Amino acid sequence: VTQGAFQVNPGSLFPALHRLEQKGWLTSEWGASASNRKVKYYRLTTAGRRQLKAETANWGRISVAIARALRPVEGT
Amino acid sequence: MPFFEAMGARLRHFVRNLLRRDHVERELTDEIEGYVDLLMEEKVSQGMSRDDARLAARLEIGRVDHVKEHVRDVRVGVWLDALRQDVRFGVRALIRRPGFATIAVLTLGVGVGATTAIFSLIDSVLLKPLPFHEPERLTTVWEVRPRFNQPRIEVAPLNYVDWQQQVQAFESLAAYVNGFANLTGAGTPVWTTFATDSSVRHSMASLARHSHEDSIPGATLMSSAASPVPLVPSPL
Repeated sequence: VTQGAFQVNPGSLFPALHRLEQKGWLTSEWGASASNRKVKYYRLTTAGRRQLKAETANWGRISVAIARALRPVEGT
Repeated sequence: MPFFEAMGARLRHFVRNLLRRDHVERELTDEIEGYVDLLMEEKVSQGMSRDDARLAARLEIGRVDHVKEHVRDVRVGVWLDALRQDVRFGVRALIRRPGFATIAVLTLGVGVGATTAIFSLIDSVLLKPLPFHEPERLTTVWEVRPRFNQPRIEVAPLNYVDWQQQVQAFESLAAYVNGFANLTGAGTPVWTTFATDSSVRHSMASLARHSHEDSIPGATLMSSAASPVPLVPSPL
Protein backbone atom coordinates (compact mmCIF):
# COMPACT_ATOMS: atom_id res chain seq x y z
CA VAL A 1 0.00 0.00 0.00
CA THR A 2 2.78 2.42 0.93
CA GLN A 3 5.10 1.13 -1.80
CA GLY A 4 7.65 0.03 0.77
CA ALA A 5 7.91 3.40 2.53
CA PHE A 6 6.96 1.74 5.80
CA GLN A 7 8.53 -1.48 6.95
CA VAL A 8 6.61 -2.68 9.99
CA ASN A 9 8.60 -5.29 11.83
CA PRO A 10 6.76 -8.00 13.76
CA GLY A 11 8.10 -6.75 17.07
CA SER A 12 6.02 -3.60 16.54
CA LEU A 13 3.14 -5.10 14.57
CA PHE A 14 1.97 -7.68 17.10
CA PRO A 15 2.02 -5.41 20.16
CA ALA A 16 0.15 -2.78 18.12
CA LEU A 17 -2.54 -5.27 17.07
CA HIS A 18 -2.97 -6.50 20.63
CA ARG A 19 -3.20 -2.97 21.95
CA LEU A 20 -5.85 -2.05 19.40
CA GLU A 21 -7.79 -5.19 20.26
CA GLN A 22 -7.68 -4.43 24.00
CA LYS A 23 -9.00 -0.95 23.27
CA GLY A 24 -11.94 -2.52 21.48
CA TRP A 25 -11.01 -1.12 18.07
CA LEU A 26 -10.26 -4.54 16.59
CA THR A 27 -11.85 -7.95 16.94
CA SER A 28 -10.06 -11.13 16.06
CA GLU A 29 -11.15 -14.53 14.91
CA TRP A 30 -9.36 -17.72 13.97
CA GLY A 31 -9.45 -18.87 10.36
CA ALA A 32 -7.50 -21.11 8.03
CA SER A 33 -4.77 -20.06 5.62
CA ALA A 34 -4.57 -21.31 2.02
CA SER A 35 -2.39 -24.21 3.19
CA ASN A 36 -4.98 -24.89 5.87
CA ARG A 37 -3.01 -23.64 8.86
CA LYS A 38 -4.59 -21.87 11.82
CA VAL A 39 -4.34 -18.10 11.27
CA LYS A 40 -5.64 -15.17 13.32
CA TYR A 41 -7.58 -12.53 11.42
CA TYR A 42 -8.25 -9.04 12.75
CA ARG A 43 -11.22 -6.87 11.79
CA LEU A 44 -12.10 -3.27 12.62
CA THR A 45 -15.02 -2.82 15.00
CA THR A 46 -17.55 0.03 14.82
CA ALA A 47 -15.63 1.86 17.53
CA GLY A 48 -12.42 1.18 15.61
CA ARG A 49 -13.86 2.61 12.42
CA ARG A 50 -15.00 5.69 14.33
CA GLN A 51 -11.52 6.10 15.81
CA LEU A 52 -9.91 5.67 12.40
CA LYS A 53 -12.10 8.44 11.02
CA ALA A 54 -11.17 10.77 13.88
CA GLU A 55 -7.46 10.00 13.58
CA THR A 56 -7.54 10.40 9.80
CA ALA A 57 -9.19 13.80 10.11
CA ASN A 58 -6.64 14.80 12.72
CA TRP A 59 -3.75 13.63 10.57
CA GLY A 60 -5.17 15.54 7.59
CA ARG A 61 -5.22 18.75 9.63
CA ILE A 62 -1.66 18.25 10.85
CA SER A 63 -0.18 17.35 7.47
CA VAL A 64 -1.87 20.31 5.78
CA ALA A 65 -0.58 22.61 8.51
CA ILE A 66 2.95 21.28 8.22
CA ALA A 67 2.87 21.50 4.43
CA ARG A 68 1.76 25.13 4.71
CA ALA A 69 4.44 25.92 7.26
CA LEU A 70 7.15 24.47 5.02
CA ARG A 71 6.02 26.15 1.80
CA PRO A 72 8.10 29.36 2.21
CA VAL A 73 11.24 27.22 2.50
CA GLU A 74 10.63 25.68 -0.95
CA GLY A 75 10.84 29.07 -2.68
CA THR A 76 14.27 30.01 -1.35
CA MET B 1 -21.45 4.88 24.51
CA PRO B 2 -17.89 4.61 23.18
CA PHE B 3 -16.41 5.00 26.66
CA PHE B 4 -18.20 1.97 28.08
CA GLU B 5 -17.46 -0.10 25.00
CA ALA B 6 -13.77 0.64 25.44
CA MET B 7 -13.93 -0.09 29.17
CA GLY B 8 -15.71 -3.37 28.47
CA ALA B 9 -13.03 -4.49 26.02
CA ARG B 10 -10.27 -3.57 28.45
CA LEU B 11 -11.98 -5.32 31.33
CA ARG B 12 -12.60 -8.45 29.29
CA HIS B 13 -8.96 -8.64 28.28
CA PHE B 14 -7.80 -7.85 31.80
CA VAL B 15 -9.75 -10.79 33.23
CA ARG B 16 -8.66 -13.05 30.40
CA ASN B 17 -4.99 -12.12 30.77
CA LEU B 18 -5.23 -12.72 34.48
CA LEU B 19 -7.23 -15.93 34.72
CA ARG B 20 -6.47 -17.69 31.45
CA ARG B 21 -2.77 -17.05 31.08
CA ASP B 22 -1.94 -20.40 29.52
CA HIS B 23 -4.72 -20.01 26.97
CA VAL B 24 -3.63 -16.46 26.08
CA GLU B 25 -0.02 -17.63 25.73
CA ARG B 26 -0.99 -20.55 23.50
CA GLU B 27 -3.03 -18.24 21.30
CA LEU B 28 -0.05 -15.91 20.94
CA THR B 29 2.18 -18.81 19.84
CA ASP B 30 -0.45 -19.94 17.32
CA GLU B 31 -0.89 -16.40 16.04
CA ILE B 32 2.81 -15.94 15.34
CA GLU B 33 3.12 -19.39 13.79
CA GLY B 34 0.19 -18.56 11.53
CA TYR B 35 1.86 -15.30 10.56
CA VAL B 36 5.08 -17.10 9.63
CA ASP B 37 3.03 -19.49 7.49
CA LEU B 38 1.30 -16.66 5.65
CA LEU B 39 4.65 -14.97 5.06
CA MET B 40 6.08 -18.19 3.71
CA GLU B 41 3.16 -18.75 1.34
CA GLU B 42 3.52 -15.20 0.08
CA LYS B 43 7.19 -15.82 -0.74
CA VAL B 44 6.42 -19.16 -2.38
CA SER B 45 3.85 -17.45 -4.58
CA GLN B 46 6.57 -14.96 -5.55
CA GLY B 47 8.65 -17.85 -6.83
CA MET B 48 10.80 -18.96 -3.89
CA SER B 49 11.35 -22.61 -3.10
CA ARG B 50 9.50 -23.82 0.00
CA ASP B 51 12.69 -24.28 2.06
CA ASP B 52 14.07 -20.86 1.13
CA ALA B 53 10.70 -19.27 1.83
CA ARG B 54 10.49 -20.90 5.26
CA LEU B 55 13.98 -19.69 6.14
CA ALA B 56 13.29 -16.18 4.83
CA ALA B 57 10.04 -15.97 6.82
CA ARG B 58 11.82 -17.13 9.99
CA LEU B 59 14.53 -14.53 9.45
CA GLU B 60 11.97 -11.80 8.86
CA ILE B 61 10.08 -12.42 12.07
CA GLY B 62 13.33 -12.53 14.04
CA ARG B 63 13.36 -14.01 17.50
CA VAL B 64 9.86 -15.16 18.35
CA ASP B 65 10.56 -14.73 22.07
CA HIS B 66 11.28 -11.06 21.52
CA VAL B 67 8.01 -10.55 19.67
CA LYS B 68 6.12 -12.35 22.42
CA GLU B 69 7.82 -10.29 25.08
CA HIS B 70 6.79 -7.07 23.30
CA VAL B 71 3.19 -8.29 23.18
CA ARG B 72 3.24 -9.23 26.87
CA ASP B 73 4.44 -5.72 27.69
CA VAL B 74 1.33 -4.09 26.22
CA ARG B 75 -1.22 -6.44 27.81
CA VAL B 76 -3.71 -4.80 30.16
CA GLY B 77 -2.72 -5.62 33.70
CA VAL B 78 1.02 -6.16 33.07
CA TRP B 79 1.72 -4.34 36.31
CA LEU B 80 -0.21 -7.02 38.20
CA ASP B 81 1.81 -9.71 36.48
CA ALA B 82 5.04 -7.92 37.33
CA LEU B 83 3.92 -7.62 40.93
CA ARG B 84 3.10 -11.31 41.06
CA GLN B 85 6.53 -12.18 39.72
CA ASP B 86 8.25 -9.87 42.19
CA VAL B 87 6.35 -11.32 45.14
CA ARG B 88 7.04 -14.88 44.00
CA PHE B 89 10.73 -14.10 43.54
CA GLY B 90 10.92 -12.49 46.96
CA VAL B 91 9.20 -15.37 48.73
CA ARG B 92 11.42 -17.91 46.99
CA ALA B 93 14.57 -16.01 47.88
CA LEU B 94 13.46 -15.89 51.53
CA ILE B 95 12.58 -19.60 51.60
CA ARG B 96 15.90 -20.53 50.06
CA ARG B 97 17.76 -18.74 52.87
CA PRO B 98 15.68 -19.17 56.04
CA GLY B 99 18.46 -17.87 58.27
CA PHE B 100 18.66 -14.62 56.39
CA ALA B 101 14.86 -14.40 56.29
CA THR B 102 14.60 -14.84 60.06
CA ILE B 103 17.22 -12.21 60.74
CA ALA B 104 15.61 -9.80 58.28
CA VAL B 105 12.16 -10.26 59.84
CA LEU B 106 13.54 -9.90 63.37
CA THR B 107 15.54 -6.81 62.45
CA LEU B 108 12.50 -5.18 60.87
CA GLY B 109 10.26 -6.17 63.78
CA VAL B 110 12.62 -4.93 66.48
CA GLY B 111 13.36 -1.78 64.48
CA VAL B 112 9.73 -0.87 63.97
CA GLY B 113 8.84 -1.77 67.56
CA ALA B 114 11.70 0.20 69.09
CA THR B 115 11.06 3.24 66.93
CA THR B 116 7.36 3.22 67.83
CA ALA B 117 8.10 2.81 71.54
CA ILE B 118 10.68 5.58 71.60
CA PHE B 119 8.46 7.89 69.63
CA SER B 120 5.47 7.31 71.92
CA LEU B 121 7.68 8.07 74.90
CA ILE B 122 9.12 11.24 73.37
CA ASP B 123 5.67 12.26 72.16
CA SER B 124 4.14 12.07 75.63
CA VAL B 125 7.13 13.35 77.60
CA LEU B 126 8.63 16.01 75.37
CA LEU B 127 6.16 16.91 72.65
CA LYS B 128 2.92 16.82 74.60
CA PRO B 129 3.71 16.90 78.29
CA LEU B 130 0.78 17.57 80.60
CA PRO B 131 0.68 21.28 81.42
CA PHE B 132 1.02 20.68 85.17
CA HIS B 133 3.89 20.53 87.63
CA GLU B 134 4.59 17.01 88.78
CA PRO B 135 1.91 15.48 86.57
CA GLU B 136 2.52 12.07 88.14
CA ARG B 137 0.88 13.34 91.35
CA LEU B 138 -2.20 14.50 89.50
CA THR B 139 -5.49 12.68 89.73
CA THR B 140 -9.12 13.17 88.93
CA VAL B 141 -11.81 12.63 91.51
CA TRP B 142 -15.28 11.62 90.43
CA GLU B 143 -18.54 11.08 92.16
CA VAL B 144 -20.05 7.63 91.91
CA ARG B 145 -23.67 6.68 91.71
CA PRO B 146 -23.69 2.86 91.97
CA ARG B 147 -27.44 2.61 92.11
CA PHE B 148 -27.69 3.93 88.55
CA ASN B 149 -24.58 2.09 87.46
CA GLN B 150 -22.69 5.37 86.97
CA PRO B 151 -19.11 4.92 88.21
CA ARG B 152 -17.96 8.37 87.03
CA ILE B 153 -20.10 11.46 87.20
CA GLU B 154 -19.25 15.09 87.76
CA VAL B 155 -19.16 16.31 91.30
CA ALA B 156 -22.10 18.30 92.58
CA PRO B 157 -21.03 21.81 93.60
CA LEU B 158 -21.92 21.37 97.26
CA ASN B 159 -20.09 18.04 97.46
CA TYR B 160 -17.03 19.77 96.02
CA VAL B 161 -17.14 22.34 98.77
CA ASP B 162 -17.39 19.53 101.33
CA TRP B 163 -14.44 17.69 99.77
CA GLN B 164 -12.35 20.78 99.83
CA GLN B 165 -13.02 21.37 103.48
CA GLN B 166 -12.88 17.81 104.78
CA VAL B 167 -10.70 15.62 102.54
CA GLN B 168 -7.08 15.40 103.75
CA ALA B 169 -5.73 13.12 101.03
CA PHE B 170 -4.91 15.86 98.52
CA GLU B 171 -2.56 18.78 98.66
CA SER B 172 -5.16 20.88 96.90
CA LEU B 173 -8.41 20.40 95.08
CA ALA B 174 -9.91 22.37 92.25
CA ALA B 175 -13.00 22.03 90.10
CA TYR B 176 -13.53 22.96 86.50
CA VAL B 177 -16.18 22.70 83.86
CA ASN B 178 -15.73 22.91 80.13
CA GLY B 179 -18.37 23.79 77.63
CA PHE B 180 -19.64 26.04 74.94
CA ALA B 181 -20.82 29.32 76.24
CA ASN B 182 -22.02 32.50 74.69
CA LEU B 183 -20.33 35.14 76.77
CA THR B 184 -21.27 38.26 74.87
CA GLY B 185 -24.87 37.44 74.07
CA ALA B 186 -24.13 37.70 70.36
CA GLY B 187 -22.22 35.66 67.84
CA THR B 188 -20.97 32.08 68.06
CA PRO B 189 -20.56 30.32 71.41
CA VAL B 190 -16.95 29.62 72.32
CA TRP B 191 -15.27 26.72 74.06
CA THR B 192 -14.74 27.89 77.58
CA THR B 193 -13.16 26.63 80.74
CA PHE B 194 -14.41 27.81 84.10
CA ALA B 195 -12.30 26.80 87.04
CA THR B 196 -12.08 27.52 90.71
CA ASP B 197 -8.34 27.88 90.71
CA SER B 198 -6.33 30.07 88.37
CA SER B 199 -3.47 27.58 87.83
CA VAL B 200 -5.98 24.85 87.04
CA ARG B 201 -7.85 27.24 84.78
CA HIS B 202 -4.72 28.03 82.73
CA SER B 203 -3.67 24.42 82.65
CA MET B 204 -7.09 23.23 81.59
CA ALA B 205 -7.24 25.91 78.95
CA SER B 206 -3.94 24.84 77.42
CA LEU B 207 -4.90 21.19 77.76
CA ALA B 208 -8.14 21.92 75.97
CA ARG B 209 -6.20 23.75 73.32
CA HIS B 210 -4.24 20.53 72.73
CA SER B 211 -7.25 18.33 72.38
CA HIS B 212 -10.09 20.51 71.16
CA GLU B 213 -8.82 23.23 68.93
CA ASP B 214 -8.51 20.95 65.93
CA SER B 215 -11.77 19.15 66.49
CA ILE B 216 -14.03 22.18 66.90
CA PRO B 217 -13.96 24.30 63.78
CA GLY B 218 -14.19 27.98 64.46
CA ALA B 219 -14.02 27.56 68.22
CA THR B 220 -12.10 30.16 70.13
CA LEU B 221 -10.57 29.07 73.34
CA MET B 222 -11.24 31.18 76.38
CA SER B 223 -10.78 30.67 80.03
CA SER B 224 -12.49 32.51 82.73
CA ALA B 225 -11.96 32.76 86.42
CA ALA B 226 -15.09 31.70 88.12
CA SER B 227 -15.12 32.24 91.82
CA PRO B 228 -16.50 29.33 93.79
CA VAL B 229 -19.48 31.44 94.58
CA PRO B 230 -21.47 30.99 91.33
CA LEU B 231 -20.79 27.25 91.49
CA VAL B 232 -22.49 27.04 94.83
CA PRO B 233 -26.11 27.92 95.07
CA SER B 234 -26.53 30.25 97.96
CA PRO B 235 -27.71 28.22 100.94
CA LEU B 236 -30.96 29.72 101.91
